[in-house]
Amino acid sequence: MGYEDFLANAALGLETALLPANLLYCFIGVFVGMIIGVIPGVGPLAAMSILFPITFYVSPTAALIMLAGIYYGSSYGGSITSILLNVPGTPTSAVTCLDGNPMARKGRAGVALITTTIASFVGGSVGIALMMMFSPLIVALAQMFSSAEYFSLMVLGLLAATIISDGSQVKALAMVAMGLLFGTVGLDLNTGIPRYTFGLIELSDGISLIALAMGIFGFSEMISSLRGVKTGEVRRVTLKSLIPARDDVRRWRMAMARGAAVGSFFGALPGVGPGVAAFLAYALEKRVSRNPERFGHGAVEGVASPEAANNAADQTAFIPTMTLGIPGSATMALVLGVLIMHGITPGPRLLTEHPDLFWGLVMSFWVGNLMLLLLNVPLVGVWVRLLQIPYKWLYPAVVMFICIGVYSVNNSAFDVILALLFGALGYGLRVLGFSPAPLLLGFVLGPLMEEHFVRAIVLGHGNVLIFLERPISAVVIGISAVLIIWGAYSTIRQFRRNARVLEQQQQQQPSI
Amino acid sequence: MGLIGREAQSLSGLDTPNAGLANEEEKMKVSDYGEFASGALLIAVGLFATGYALTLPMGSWLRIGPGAFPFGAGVILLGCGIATILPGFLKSGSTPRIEVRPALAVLGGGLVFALLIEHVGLIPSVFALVLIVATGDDKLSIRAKFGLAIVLSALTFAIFKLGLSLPVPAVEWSF
Repeated sequence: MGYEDFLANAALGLETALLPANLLYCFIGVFVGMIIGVIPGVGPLAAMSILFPITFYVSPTAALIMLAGIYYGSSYGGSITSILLNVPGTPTSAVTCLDGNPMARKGRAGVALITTTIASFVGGSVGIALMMMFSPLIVALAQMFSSAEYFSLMVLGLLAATIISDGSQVKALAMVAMGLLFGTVGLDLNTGIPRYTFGLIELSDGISLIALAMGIFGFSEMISSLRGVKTGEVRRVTLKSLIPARDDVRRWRMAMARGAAVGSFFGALPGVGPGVAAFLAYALEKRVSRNPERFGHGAVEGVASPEAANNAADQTAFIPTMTLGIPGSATMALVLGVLIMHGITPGPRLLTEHPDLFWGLVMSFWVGNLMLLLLNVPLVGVWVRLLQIPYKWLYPAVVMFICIGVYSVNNSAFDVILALLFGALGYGLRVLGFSPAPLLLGFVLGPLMEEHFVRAIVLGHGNVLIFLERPISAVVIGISAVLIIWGAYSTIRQFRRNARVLEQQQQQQPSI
Repeated sequence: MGLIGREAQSLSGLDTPNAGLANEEEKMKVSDYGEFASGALLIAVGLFATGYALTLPMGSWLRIGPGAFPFGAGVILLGCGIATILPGFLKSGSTPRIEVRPALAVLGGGLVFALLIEHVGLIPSVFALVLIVATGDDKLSIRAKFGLAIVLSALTFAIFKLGLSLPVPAVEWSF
């Protein structure tokens, strides 16, 4: 692709992003995302679902711009809570607590806030630039893909999400399988035979994505955070305290550059996501630091690097979702689901058939990040006041928004009940130590995988080895196999370590 | 189980005779109830899913039927369940704690909302929802709960009726 094409695409995108309606929805998205990010216990998935009904009133482009705005807006907001309350506002900003909160306790909350704002902007910008450069290349490569390659890539994506997840890999795999099962509910596309519908007409179109996402994330997050979250103990932050010292600015530069690089790379990989990217960036920063003992006690690099990383990852996560139609995380799965509901199938053809949508979205990222940069600083007082509202007043409002949100998607009380059932399931799974994100990924990818699997085998005239005979597919399957072996190895190692710890415990307390 | 136990033993430097047997017995006592329940749940769902999938046509390799894919997913689930429940016997763990009251308040409020909305309209359903959800903790007085329900009902009216004109009546009565 030539330099001129690049400029033409950027110009088309900017033109779309700057349409008044799109600007407005971008603003609504980043603003609501930021508020939701600040409130602990409500993640971007809940926020996207709450605003989902609005997407039916606007063009798919505006809808996508808004939902994306919520997503990266919430990561700006989440770090504010991490710094001021030592509670991550969103899971991806958990690492920011480590040094952000100590900075606040030393009276440097203002500097920590400005650091996250600028680091987020830098990281986001790097991520967007990479997305603009690499998306056309991946699309060119994807022209060679057939169903076999898509199926293999989805297998790899789900396996990566399983193996890189925190906690038990077996449990993560179980969540993927459960998601795949929920994805099969409804009438089979090829034969029209109902599967797992139990005679309910409401289930014949399948389980509503919003009901599932709101249940396992929205309701279950509210139940588990209801007693745990304490807001209301936040000191005021003056605008003057936002000014960083010269030493801070010097430390920012390399930390942000490294964070953005780590975040961009890992964000684009399936299954990794911004949370892991931020954690890796923090670990790297601590390792390269000349005095790592400062970390955990308010090192400004410990805020700058992970914040740059999670925002870079937020943006590059869109690359596989938009160009291949393969989401790498639960949030991206929701974005994909929204596009499909609006009749747009993400994939290589999206760039040629809807260039305004794709490039408009990309350029709206710049606009949105700029808005966040400008909003974050003057509104610091508002965020502090929002955190001073006790949680007992906030959580009924959030539950209310979730209920109305689920209801209004199809004007269906059945969907609300379905979401409540998933809420109970999701809470149960959470209590038992499952992380429900892979479930949503499996749910969205399941029907696509089944379709591509069936089609690949039909194209191969019943030959199951088609996945190994096509070179790109074979390489992807090979990587998946390596992941499985590595996953099995580390599970067994973990298992042995547990057995050893138990042994030692028994040695110490022989009379149990 | 025995093999891994013995190997872990030699790694930890514990080398008394007969310790293997004694530990075997100890291990059966300390089980991780959370892991046990997780495994049982996965096995139950896996059994149900595979059983149901078997009632669907499986098809052939040339024309794969609707039962094949869910059957595969169910088998993975069963495998994960077995892999979770077996080490559950081995490990000690804390019994998971369930927050009963918040769960009942949030889910109960939602259920009442779902049952009411098509009969009494948006505003009364939201009012009832907020009142029930707010019983999730003791931090608000009764008066505060009613106050919150009134404020949020008004907010709902402003956003969803005036702003987004949601196609559900604000108030109605149809049973």
